[in-house]
Amino acid sequence: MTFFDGFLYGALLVAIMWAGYALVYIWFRTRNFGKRELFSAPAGSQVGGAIYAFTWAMLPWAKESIRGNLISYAMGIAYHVGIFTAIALLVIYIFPALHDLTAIFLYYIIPFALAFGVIGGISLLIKRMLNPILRAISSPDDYFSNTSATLFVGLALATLLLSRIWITRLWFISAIVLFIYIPFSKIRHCLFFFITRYHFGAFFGRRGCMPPSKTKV
Amino acid sequence: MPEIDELENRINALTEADIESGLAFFRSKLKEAEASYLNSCVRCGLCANSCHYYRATPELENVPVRKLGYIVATFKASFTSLGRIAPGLVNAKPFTREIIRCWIDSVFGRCSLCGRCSINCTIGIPLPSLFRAARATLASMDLVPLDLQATVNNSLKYGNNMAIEQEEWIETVEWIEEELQAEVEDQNAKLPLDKIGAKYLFTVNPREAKFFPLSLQASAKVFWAAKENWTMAKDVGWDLTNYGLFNCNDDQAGTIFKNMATAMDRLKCETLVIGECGHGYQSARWMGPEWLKAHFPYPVVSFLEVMDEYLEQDKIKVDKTKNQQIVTLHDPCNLVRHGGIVEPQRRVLRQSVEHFVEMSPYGHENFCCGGGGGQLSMSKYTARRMNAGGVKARQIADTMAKIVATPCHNCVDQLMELNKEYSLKIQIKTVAELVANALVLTSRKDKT
Ligand code: SF4
Ligand code: SF4
Repeated sequence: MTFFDGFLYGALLVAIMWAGYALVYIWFRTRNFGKRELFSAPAGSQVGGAIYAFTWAMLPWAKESIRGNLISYAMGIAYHVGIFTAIALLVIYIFPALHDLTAIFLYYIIPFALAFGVIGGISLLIKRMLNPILRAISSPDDYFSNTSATLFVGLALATLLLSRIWITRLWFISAIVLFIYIPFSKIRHCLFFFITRYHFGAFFGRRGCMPPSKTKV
Repeated sequence: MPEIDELENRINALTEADIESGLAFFRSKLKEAEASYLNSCVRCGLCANSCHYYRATPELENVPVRKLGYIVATFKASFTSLGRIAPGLVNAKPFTREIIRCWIDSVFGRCSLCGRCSINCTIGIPLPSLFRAARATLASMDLVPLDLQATVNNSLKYGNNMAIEQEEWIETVEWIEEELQAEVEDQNAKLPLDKIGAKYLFTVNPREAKFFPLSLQASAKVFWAAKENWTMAKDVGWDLTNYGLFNCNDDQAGTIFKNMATAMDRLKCETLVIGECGHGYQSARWMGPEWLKAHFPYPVVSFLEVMDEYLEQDKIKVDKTKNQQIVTLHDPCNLVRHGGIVEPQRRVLRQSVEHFVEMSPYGHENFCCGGGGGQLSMSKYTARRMNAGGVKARQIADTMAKIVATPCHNCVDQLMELNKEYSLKIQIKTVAELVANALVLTSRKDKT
């Protein structure tokens, strides 16, 4: 390992720790806003609502907004699978001992997941640039978040397929940039998605609105 | 002076101290949940089509995330480090007169707080809770559209939102009682007032007393057929409406709700029954205890649940052939999506009408009629309301129904306007009206 590679490993570790620390800090800041005490008698279960929100409510047919945008949904899923796969690959690269254990995935599954991720990321970026409504609601962060994450997935794929040291280094640099940027960006939804969705499910679950009753004509 | 100028004047008259205290008030309305929501939006835009405003007029300002965006912009600029350091990166915008205008236009002028966007949000952000925080902030700065505030003021002054004096209320009830007695040929058919210890304290929308006495008569007929021990309040506490839910001034909402809570205490009834009203149900069942910060020792139920129970327990009998026309059901957002009352009205209607058809979509996915969120009382937004209501009009037309049942008098009003505007040629009825028409009065002569 060269000095530069050692530096990259170290910087990556620091970036990951920074992302984790900063996200926890932001989370604590939101917790500082305080909990709302509720007085109305519940009609349903908060936990039941939350479980529903994280399961059935996520299925493609559960929401009209997904039923009518199946391609975007598929691209979104592909993109997120790609990102998580790239992170998993990063872990494998950081701990070479995992190489042999995961060899079968490395060559047969991970490249496909990463390729789908790149396609998903690029297509969502193009959609954001071309759709006038999306363009209007977007901030620079939306473009930078998408680009940095897509680049990270794309370089992971290139690293795997081309086995060039300079590509691996570029991939590590993209990972460092991405992890440093996460707390500043909308990618913080990697944490807040879970918190918000819990509150969403708990709110509607408590009111007996979730899971929705099965109405029949 | 047109209200748009009046509001504009109030905005222009704001001092920097007013704006600062408005911002502090906004901060005070946010709890952990809301702070998380404000950190969650990924601006995917998938909520756009869920909003009836956007469906009717697909323009940027009608997209839910655009409306949310103004609030997020303020939050980021005022309460996040990044928003202060690099506002351009995340579209953070300080709380200025310009953004206040955007808040007013989006949360009062383009939103009925229906919550359809939240169930369709990719992340699951309950957007109306943030729109409410924004409305509450505007209320704290005296920036509520005048006619919405006037409705609230009526409730605060008269104990009901239509400024009906007590004498007029009592006379109306007596008159409806006579009509009921004539209808069912029973001098014992009563609309009891202030009956201490009754099982149910029944509350109504003042529009029933003023314009729709047949609705109240229908509910009373159902109670009579079930031989129920019920009452209404003679003094304040009979009105179930609470436009404090819409101006989002929690103090005023709590004061209005207190009328019902006090009537419950005074009359020592077992259960508070909310007549057919969406926002009235959400106010009493879900928000009232929060406004008063009190656990109620009695249950709060919808009249739909009462009728459902009567049918289930055979306390009343209905003959569905008495309602021959095709009936569809409009689900009030406050009752269904935010209230959790979805099935009782359907079970009741399936038994009471011959041909029941659902709209598409229906239940918790149903579209708002356009009259929610206090829109009916904000005249400056009438054109937008009627336009957005076109989505509902098309839903209704597609069912081919001749009657639209809806358990809400605000929805009745909006649907009547849509009926005219879109030439739907429908009748609009409450669920109780259909049930009353189908009642089989076994022990007494059936005059229906
Ligand atoms: S669907 Fe939810 S996350 Fe997506 S833009 Fe709308 S509010 Fe934001
Ligand atoms: S709450 Fe209803 S009216 Fe308001 S933005 Fe959401 S969908 Fe539109």
